[in-house]
Amino acid sequence: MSGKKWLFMFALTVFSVLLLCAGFSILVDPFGVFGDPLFDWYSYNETNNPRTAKLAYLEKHHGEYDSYVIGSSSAASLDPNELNAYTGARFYNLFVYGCDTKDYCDFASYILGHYEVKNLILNIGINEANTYDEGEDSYTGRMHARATDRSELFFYLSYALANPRYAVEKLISRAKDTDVPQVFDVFDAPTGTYDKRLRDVEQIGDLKRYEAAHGADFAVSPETAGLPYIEECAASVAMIRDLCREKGVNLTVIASPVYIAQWEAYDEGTLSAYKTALANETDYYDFSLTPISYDSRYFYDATHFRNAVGSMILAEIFGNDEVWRPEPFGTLVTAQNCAGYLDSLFQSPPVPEESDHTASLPVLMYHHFAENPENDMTISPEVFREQIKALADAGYRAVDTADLIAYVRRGIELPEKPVLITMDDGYLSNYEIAWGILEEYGMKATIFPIGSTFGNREFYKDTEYPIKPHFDFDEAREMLASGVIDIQSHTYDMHAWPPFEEDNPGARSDMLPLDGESEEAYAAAVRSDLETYDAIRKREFGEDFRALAYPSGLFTDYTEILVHGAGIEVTFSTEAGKNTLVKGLAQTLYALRRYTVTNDTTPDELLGWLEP
Amino acid sequence: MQKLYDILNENWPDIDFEKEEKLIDDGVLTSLDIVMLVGELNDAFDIEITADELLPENFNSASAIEALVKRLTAE
Amino acid sequence: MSISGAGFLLFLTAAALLYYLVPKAYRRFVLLAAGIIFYLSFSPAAGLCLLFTACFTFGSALLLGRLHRLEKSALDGGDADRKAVKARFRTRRKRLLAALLTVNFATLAVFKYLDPWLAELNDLFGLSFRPLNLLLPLGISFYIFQTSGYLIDCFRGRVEPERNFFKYALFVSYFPQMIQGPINRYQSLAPQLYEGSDFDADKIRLGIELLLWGMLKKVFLADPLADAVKEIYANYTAYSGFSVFLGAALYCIQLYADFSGGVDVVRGASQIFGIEMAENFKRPYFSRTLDEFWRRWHISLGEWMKDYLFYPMALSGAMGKLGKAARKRFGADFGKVAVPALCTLIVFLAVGVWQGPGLANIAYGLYNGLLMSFALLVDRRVRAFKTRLKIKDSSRAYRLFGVARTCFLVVIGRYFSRSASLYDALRMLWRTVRYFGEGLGEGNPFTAFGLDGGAWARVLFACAVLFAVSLLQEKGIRIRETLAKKPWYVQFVPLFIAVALLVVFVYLNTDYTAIAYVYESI
Repeated sequence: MSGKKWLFMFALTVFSVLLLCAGFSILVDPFGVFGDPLFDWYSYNETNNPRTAKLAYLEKHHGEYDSYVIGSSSAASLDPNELNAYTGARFYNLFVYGCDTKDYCDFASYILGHYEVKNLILNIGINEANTYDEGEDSYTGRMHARATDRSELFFYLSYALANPRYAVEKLISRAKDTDVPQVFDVFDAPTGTYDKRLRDVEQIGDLKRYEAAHGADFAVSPETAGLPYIEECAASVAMIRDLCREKGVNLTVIASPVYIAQWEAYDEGTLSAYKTALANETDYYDFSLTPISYDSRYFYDATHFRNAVGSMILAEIFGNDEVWRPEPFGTLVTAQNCAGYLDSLFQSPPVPEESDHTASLPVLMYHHFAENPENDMTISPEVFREQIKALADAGYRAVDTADLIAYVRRGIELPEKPVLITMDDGYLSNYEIAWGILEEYGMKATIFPIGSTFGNREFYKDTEYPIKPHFDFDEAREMLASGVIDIQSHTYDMHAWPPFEEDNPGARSDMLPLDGESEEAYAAAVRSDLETYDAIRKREFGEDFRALAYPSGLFTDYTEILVHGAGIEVTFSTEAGKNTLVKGLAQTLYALRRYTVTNDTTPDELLGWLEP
Repeated sequence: MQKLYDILNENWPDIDFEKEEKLIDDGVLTSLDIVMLVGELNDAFDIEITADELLPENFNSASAIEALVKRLTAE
Repeated sequence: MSISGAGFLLFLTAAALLYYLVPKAYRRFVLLAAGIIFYLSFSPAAGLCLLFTACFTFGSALLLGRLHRLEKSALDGGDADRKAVKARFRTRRKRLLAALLTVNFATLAVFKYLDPWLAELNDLFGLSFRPLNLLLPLGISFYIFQTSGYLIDCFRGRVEPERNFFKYALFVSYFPQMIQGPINRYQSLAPQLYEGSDFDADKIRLGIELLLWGMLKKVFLADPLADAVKEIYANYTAYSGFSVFLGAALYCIQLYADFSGGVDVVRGASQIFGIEMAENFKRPYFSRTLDEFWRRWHISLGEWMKDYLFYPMALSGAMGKLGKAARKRFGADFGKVAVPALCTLIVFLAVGVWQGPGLANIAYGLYNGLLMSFALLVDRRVRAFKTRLKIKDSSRAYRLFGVARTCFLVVIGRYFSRSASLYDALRMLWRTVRYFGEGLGEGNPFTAFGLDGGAWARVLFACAVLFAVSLLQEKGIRIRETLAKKPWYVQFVPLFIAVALLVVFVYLNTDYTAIAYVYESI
């Protein structure tokens, strides 16, 4: 082969290898720029680069939406589904983490210029005044070329020739993908919000435990540099306001809740200047410093408020009293009232009393009762009577799960000394012995019967194995009618007794996944069990379940996601300890701890546990 | 001259000095060999071979070395 | 610009295209411009140092040339005593050269050795000289030696000093040699640079192939070993003696792949411009003696030392007298090897110093020098010994023995050349001997320092390929030429594999942020 021919072959080889790499990057499309032909996995693409991938997503899907939320990551907690319910519009949350107000302008101009937009919600926190036009040029931080005046051809070319590692990593992540969000797919593509399902089931009631787990995320160092870009922020807001006016778009501006450490990182003067500058451009709902700012449980970390708080914000704006908010909460700030508002805010900040929005709730757990108990897990009627009497005499008032839900959702106060009495498995002894004693002392209890053994008197299900008798549906109805007993779930058939289940190797004794069970199979099994039992309860007692006690107290984060996703609002473990319920935070009802009461538990011991 | 060939053969018995024409170019004699050879030649013929003389033309074959030695003894 | 990076390749492509587009007479300006751009991209301040050396040595050579002309006219002027004239001028030339070389090497010393020596002084005497924190100009070790060689050649009258500064500047700043050498000779390099080359597709092809080969060595053999070697040398106390020895052996492989790979890239790049530079490595690990090793490893340095240090020193008057005295005192057999042995020792001390500051490097030079001097001194006895035992040098067994022995000695030498200090090197040696098997039972000694099974597999495969190629070359087969004669599909396969591997790998090292780090906090 001649030298010239070889050189030609060489050039061709280099070119074709580059083409192959580009083809690979285009097909796998880790940034969603080319429409993600193979995977359509925008929750991944958006995690990689939300500025680019969200716009790429909207290019395909904007017909499904007519309203948008713009903001940076703190806006993630404004739920489009709730917005749609309040306004009847079809919202998409176009927040992007790490945004500055220049990005907001780019987005606003683009969507107002190219899509149908009826409503625009602009969310502004404090961080927006810290940066401006950072001009990120990396693959992970670049804005989509369409929203800027940079060359589109160059944009697509550079993403085609991106480091192939991005595409490789997407393939690797694909193999590791689970239903539960992981670090590489934190978005929920259809709504544009974060997929916070994991953090929305963590146990946050216990403040000490929460701070131990996440304390580092709440530490903020003082910003000696102040807020350098207040003018640019105000100008951007003005620009968006004018654009909305021009296009007849309904604009709502929200100043998001700020965690106290972040608020105090700036001096009053700076904050006032910022708030006033914004007020001079547009009215806005100011949620920055409210009673919840002082409690880290309302936040995921120092700069992001929880989804639950997002619900509170929307409830305040749209006047929904079914959702608890603290007093005071959001104020509609205008150019006229701004000065006065800021004055009173700084002079008397809304520091809450802990007891205003929290309550301590002890839960007791019983199982079986009998005249002559064979072990200490079975309580004799005399001992039970002593225990209940002691509670009543000490002033404890029994509550049920509906009361708990009313507390966290609508802020309806619980009794001063609440106690929740529970009984697991649904034994006949509850009906025969416990019910009467409870009624005598004016107490209530919630029983968690197992669905598949409902009414089993002698034998376990349809076997010949003997079991302790369980009450049946009629007896349950009697107890319900009296108002003393509530019936909730202990699962339909996920608390089986394997030694009695020889024919059924897949019998579950608890709600944990079986060995080697795939995520899909597990989710299907849990959903099916919940649906089955719900149908039975509806048929027998008229309503779905609202609470569930985990068999043997065992569960995983994913179990919680599935259970609460199916509509259960309260769950119980078997971990000993007290619980703290927080108004507005429904997840403080998750995995409630319970004290195991035995036949040896003396009334003094019992009261000792319950002591605040 | 015989003295030269004695020196060459005694110190490097494995090299065929009659035939080799590229002692330097082919690396048959290493730099150490050259230095040793120069030392021997200086000593035996009472001449002074300097670094300037260290050119391949002067050392590539036994006859070249002979010529060099003859020239220097003449000076 | 790293030579295994995309930037360098793009730069090279642009320079080559421009070179051949421009008419032949102007091609050297393209090279000069490329050299300047390349050097400035590294550091503008260093560019000034290079400029200084270029100007200084340019002027120095002219001075030496002037002395030569004066001498010539003096001789022609009919002065009777030619020897006296010659001697007088020789002394003047010598003095001038000494001064010029001192300045040139002083430049090198300041950048390379001043800060470490200051640190040593501070440590030893508790002083507090502030280090100058000078950035080492790119390739200073090479271009100082290269220009010094040029000066010595002018001194000897072997080379006519260049009168055109731009031509000379090209010789000093020719960019391929800036990174890793080799140290070129004026006579062989300059004419090629100045004339400009015709477009010769075959030569360009050879150049590209050599460049690809060098990059492959670097990316797939040298770089993967870097972390593991670093780990062992830094934390040798945590590893068994076996692992330490293994680490030194891996360093030998890494260094060879890196250095020879780099030189291949550089020579290949130069061949693309039609300019040949001398080989710097000739499969050194096939050497049968340490002496042979140093003729196959870093050849241009060895040649430079030989022509400009070893010969002048060994053939100088002082050494001559020493040799005579040794013969008298110790007899002919010892006397004749005394001078070569001593000069060898000194040269290798110089090599050690050239490698870098620190006692460890000097120890390295001393180690090699002593071994080779010793070999020289006992050469007679060893030969007698071999004859008695009927061991033939050409026998397979003896050759293999030689190779194994040489490799072993080289590995031990590497304890010194890479460790942080002489003390560390000695402790590493001690560790190898005393704790050879320590901890060998627990854990895998091969993966203890950060090379997992997959990495080992790739490294061993790369070694095997390199070994096979080297073996073929050792037998005299010229790989690139042989490949050129095969049908096109046979040629295409290795080309495609090499290009694909390199493009992907060079690519994979461009800017990249893992998705886990993209997102700040959930």
